[in-house]
Formats: sequence, structure tokens, C-alpha cells
Amino acid sequence: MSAVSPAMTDVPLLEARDISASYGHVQALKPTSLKVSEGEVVTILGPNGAGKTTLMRALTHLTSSRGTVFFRGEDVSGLSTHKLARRGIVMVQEGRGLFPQMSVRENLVIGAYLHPAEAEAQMSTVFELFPRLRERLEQIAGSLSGGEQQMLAIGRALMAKPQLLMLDEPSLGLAPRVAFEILSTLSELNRRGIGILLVEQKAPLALKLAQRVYVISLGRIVAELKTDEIKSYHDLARYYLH
Amino acid sequence: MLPVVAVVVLAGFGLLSSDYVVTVLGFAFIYAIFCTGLNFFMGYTGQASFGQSAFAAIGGYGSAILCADYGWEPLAALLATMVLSGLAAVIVGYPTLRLRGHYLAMATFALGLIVYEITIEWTDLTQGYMGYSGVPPLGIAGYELVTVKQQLVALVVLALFGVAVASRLRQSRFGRALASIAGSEQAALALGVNIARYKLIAFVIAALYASAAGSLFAHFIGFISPEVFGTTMVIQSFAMLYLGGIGTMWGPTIGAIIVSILPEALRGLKEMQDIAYTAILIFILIFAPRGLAGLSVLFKRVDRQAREDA
Repeated sequence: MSAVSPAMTDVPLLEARDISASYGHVQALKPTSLKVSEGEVVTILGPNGAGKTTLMRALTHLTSSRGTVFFRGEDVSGLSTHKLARRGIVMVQEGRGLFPQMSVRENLVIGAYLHPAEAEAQMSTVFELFPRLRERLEQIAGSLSGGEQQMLAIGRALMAKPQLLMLDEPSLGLAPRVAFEILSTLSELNRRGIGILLVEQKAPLALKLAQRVYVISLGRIVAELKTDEIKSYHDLARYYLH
Repeated sequence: MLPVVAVVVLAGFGLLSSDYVVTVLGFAFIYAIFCTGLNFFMGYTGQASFGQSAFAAIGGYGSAILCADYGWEPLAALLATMVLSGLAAVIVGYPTLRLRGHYLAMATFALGLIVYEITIEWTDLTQGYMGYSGVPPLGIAGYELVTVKQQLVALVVLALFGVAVASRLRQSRFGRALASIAGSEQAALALGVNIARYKLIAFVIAALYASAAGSLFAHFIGFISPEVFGTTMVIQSFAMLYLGGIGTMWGPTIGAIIVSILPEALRGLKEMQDIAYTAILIFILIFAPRGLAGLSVLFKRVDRQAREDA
């Protein structure tokens, strides 16, 4: 992982223009635009049902969507999810999407599907970030604690050597201390040059990590804020009540 | 290694027994090949197919027609029909595998029914209900395996070869991709796995095994008819797969042997035979829900616990 300083280039790492998605007749995501720059952490905040997960799924084409998505200036709108992973866009889904019957090792090895020759080296990086996974290597993933499962989900995504890591509510269901530990590791990943797009409900955690925040409500982005401009959570609360 | 020894011992027992026992074991190993292939699609990849009997029918009728009418070598006919089945699987699988769950199950079931109807109705080609007789026994380069015991040896070797190939593929990058699809399709996609392509490949591999099993059946019995490839074959193969252990390496073979031998072993019970057979199947599925091959995990755990206690 090579270090990339924020705003190193004018071309954003990820740019979505007027992306929208519908479930049947219900438009869950209205035309929305966002950007993630190189080496940046961006958080999407919003209440339940606001459209955060739909936005993430639309960006990775796990849900059919309209609009245009650029990755490092290349139009990737027509690419399917597995091709986006080849470009370096890897998503950790809500609920983690682990292979519960497989061991920690097997989950990690499958994570290196795109880079099998580098699996060992990549696994060492994962263990450096999450030493607990090394201790649980032969344990069945489904039997891990919630925090360990989230570590494994992120570790497995790292095996795919992402340039942009997208995470859908990584703190969901975790004790505050574990959630903080996970988000601290994401901060370390960002220092190593990986762009991060994060969906979170827990604003305090998200604001600690992110440089910019999009607030989403009723299927559309209602605010774009720099985290150092947010003086108090009341600034955010009004958007939640939008 | 233990399952290989068990299979060889069972085959050895067969060679010392009557032709009737050999025939039962022959069926078991033909089904073992069929189920090992089905396991690729249903076990390793986690998809549903009720239509693999269609490819067995292509293999069976293809070999019968090519050998009986056109004088082909059995091995050449077997390989040619495998290629034909593979192509058919690509053509059918490409649109069908876009479906999921129950819809995929229904589409594949329809495929089985369509081919079954063709074997009945296209009498010029298949001779309908009359069936196709005069299929020569297995052989190579003019040498025929004339006795059922010789053929049993060939079937055991082919079944073990089929398991070896499946095992090799299962442990490869390809096998891991299939396992990821079975685990979570969306997670597999997110990790870069082209799930549509892998599902199709797994479907084709299952079709190749099914075709080989159909051809072997035709050569082993010397006669085929539509009933051989009907719904009974689908139900039978599912029972074998789940009883033996779906998704495991040896499960299909174990299941095929148990489900083939058990009714014969219970024949002495006369009118109680079916009840006893069903009761035993239910008993096994209750106490070994992951199949008989899954019990090996339990034994390993007990063994590890005993060593830790010592």
C-alpha cells in the first residue's frame, strides 16, 4: 500500500453524478452526486431508511441504478460489481457478508481471489492490523464475536487490495470500545493511502474519522460538510430532522 | 485415504459375490459419478438443479446410438457425448442461470422434463418407450469388458477418478470461487468473483459428469429407456447427495452406495422393506443432518478432545 496524500491530484478517486436507484415504483435514492478524493475519508450520515445503503449498493452496482460513476476519471458506470473490484473498489456490506461455515483463513484466502500470488504478504498486513485474526485463524467465521467478524470482513476486503474501501455501517451491533477500535484501524488504513467511503449512523465515531460528511435524508443528500466546520452535533441534528 | 480403501474393499467384496450384487454395486458407482458432478453445482456452488437427468439422457442415448447404430468405440462415444452435453449445458445454462432459488430449480426441472419427453416422443431417434437395446459393453481399442465384474472394476476406477478431479478442482482457486458463491453471492461479487461465469462452469462440469454417468449406464446394462432418466433419477440423486453429505468430497459416493445397497439389504423384510428403508433414511438425516461424510468432522472433534484431555 503506497501512501497517497489527500488532494494529490485534481481527479477524484470516486465521483458519482446524478446517481439514483428505485425498488419497483419507489425511488429509494433520488439523483445524487458525491466525490471522494485520493486518500480521503468520507462519511455518509443519515437516519434509518434515508437511503445510505441503497447509495452504497448503487455505487457498486449491487442494485441497478441510473447516473454516472467515475473512478479516477474513468467512466465505470457500465461495469458490474466484480469488475469494479478489479479496478480497486471493494465494499464491506452491511451484515459483513462473511462465509460463516468457512474458517478465518479460508475467508481471507478467498479475499485474495484477484491477487492469489500476493495472498501471504497481504495476510501478514491483515494480521498486523488485526492480530486477533491470527489467533483465530482456524476458527469457523460464524463462531467469532461480532467485533472479530467485522475485523475479518475488513481484513478480507483488504486481501483484495482496495484503493477505495467502502463500508456499510461497520460499527453496527458492536460495543462502543470495539467500534472505536475498528474505526481506529480504518484511520490507519487511510494513512496508508486507501480512500474510504463509510456509511455510519453513529455520528461521533464517523466525525472522528472523516474529513468530509454527506448527510442523506429521504433518499437525497441534504448537506455536504467538512468535519472541522461542524461545531456541535446540533449542526447535524437539523439535517436529520429535515 | 480411508474412503478410497473402503471403496476398494467394497469393490473387492463385489468381485467375490454374485453378478446380482455386482450389478447393484455397478449402479451405485454410476450414481456416484452422477452425484459427484451434481455436487459441483449444488454443493460447492450452492445452486439448485432438478434437471441434470437431461444430460445423463444425452450421454446415455448418445452413446447408445453412436455405438449400436454407427459402430463407434464406447470410449469415443462417451467422450463425444460429454462434449455434446457440455455444449447443451452452455446453451441452456447461459439464460437459465440468471434465475435464482426456486425459479432456477423450476427452470432446471423443466429442462429435465423436456428431455424426458423428447426421449419418449422422438421415436425415430430414441425408439420411445421401447428403449434402445444392443449397446455394447465398455471397452477400448477393440477390447471389450464382457463380464459385469470387469465392468465393475472400470466403474470403480472411473468413480475414484471423478472424485480425484473434483477434489483437485475444489481445492483450487476455481473451487474457492465456487465456495464464495455458495457462501454469499454478493460478497463474492464484491471480492471480484464473476459469479455468472463460475455458475455456468459449475453447471457444465455437472453436465459432463451426468453425461458420463448416462453413457456408462447404457454400456453397463446394454439397454436404455426413458424411465431411466425420469424424475426418479432426480429424487434418487438428491437422496444420495443429502444422505452422503452435500458439499463434501466423499459425500456423493457414500450416499450413492448407501442408497443403492440399502433397499437390496432390506429385501428380506418383504412388504416392510419400503417402510424400513424410509425409516433408516430419516434416522440418518436426523442424526447426521450434514450427511454421513459430515460425521467425519464429529469424529475428528472427539479425537482432538480426547488428545487434549490426555
